[in-house]
Amino acid sequence: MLHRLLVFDETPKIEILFKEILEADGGEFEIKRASDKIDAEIAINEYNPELALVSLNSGKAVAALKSLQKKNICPPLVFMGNNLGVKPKELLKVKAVDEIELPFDPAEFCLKIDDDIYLGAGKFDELTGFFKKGWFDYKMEKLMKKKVKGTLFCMSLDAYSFAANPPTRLQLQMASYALKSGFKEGILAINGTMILGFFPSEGKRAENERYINGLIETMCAAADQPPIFICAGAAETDMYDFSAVDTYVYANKAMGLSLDAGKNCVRYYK
Amino acid sequence: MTDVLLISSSLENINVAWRHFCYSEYNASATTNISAAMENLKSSKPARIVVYYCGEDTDGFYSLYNTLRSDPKTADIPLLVLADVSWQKALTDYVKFYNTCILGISVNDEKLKDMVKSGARYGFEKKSPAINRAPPKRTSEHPGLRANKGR
Repeated sequence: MLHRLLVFDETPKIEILFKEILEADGGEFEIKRASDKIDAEIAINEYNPELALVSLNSGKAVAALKSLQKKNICPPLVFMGNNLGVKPKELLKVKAVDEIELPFDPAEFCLKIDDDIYLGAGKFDELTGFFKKGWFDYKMEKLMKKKVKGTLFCMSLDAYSFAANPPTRLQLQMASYALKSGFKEGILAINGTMILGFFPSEGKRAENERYINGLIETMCAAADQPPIFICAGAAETDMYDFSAVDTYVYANKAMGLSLDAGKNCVRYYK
Repeated sequence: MTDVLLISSSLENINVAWRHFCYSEYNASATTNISAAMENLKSSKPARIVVYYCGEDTDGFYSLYNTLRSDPKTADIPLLVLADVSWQKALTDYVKFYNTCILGISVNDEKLKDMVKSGARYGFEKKSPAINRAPPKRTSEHPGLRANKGR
């Protein structure tokens, strides 16, 4: 499959170098470089890139990005730079699927781009502002490939999803529980191995914490295999004062490990 | 004399870079063919250092790097890149290359001789010659690479 990437940068030849590095790792890539907003708009219209790598070391690239966002034609973004901790002010609120510190190790770069293409392909979630669907599917797929046995829980602040594999009565129990608990969006899908639901996020932190704990406790009690906890979406981003570690801690609390340490061993999967 | 193998993607490039190696300090050979280069480097008397020239129309530098670092026999051979102005920033600022030194093509011959000599002797990974006496540690996967994977 041919992957299409766009690089916002003024440095010549990086599109050739990136292509050679990525293709040496397998796969086919078409990479274009744009150094200003006109180039970027033409490139986006011409071949609809799956990802745009934005060099934060280039003032022109940042300006081009701002222009694209205003026009709402911006592809999923990956920031790259040699000091990513210090971003230009205008980019602080811009969401990127990933960041790449320069200079990069070629092998790590290939892994990141591989992952980011997948993440970027997810549907944009209007509730969280993240490519959440892609994140869930991506993590699920990785776990399934590893043949991890257990009951899978994906947790986000805005979205709650879980899957049980192999299918058991647990799914129906969970679905019923979710409906009874008044998930605002209700059950979105039950397709054999996966159930997705949404719960409200407007509550304050303490309320959310209790709510999350309650949900996890009930579901883990019903689980017949060791639960695996996955943070996804907003929970991974520290938005709304919750981090991935926070939610993991809540999960552990709710599990009451001391009561049933053998069965209820939470494995944290990031 | 330092045994040097000069590589680039075209004969034209080799001609441009060759002027740097017409000195008695070098025993230089050149090729545009990666397979031929690998044969040389795996022979009983291999070049001590590889010099790659990246000119305006060069392509395939990473292919050479990847091939070199993928083979245990050549993985630790020092690589010196002579990059023209169009390549220098991309090669220097964006990618960490193992045991590799990037120099601008405008480098003067004296400096180049020093770099080739020290690179051939100690490599480019280590800071101090004293440290270089120990052979590099090997892991199952070379630091510059990971195994190819299907997409």
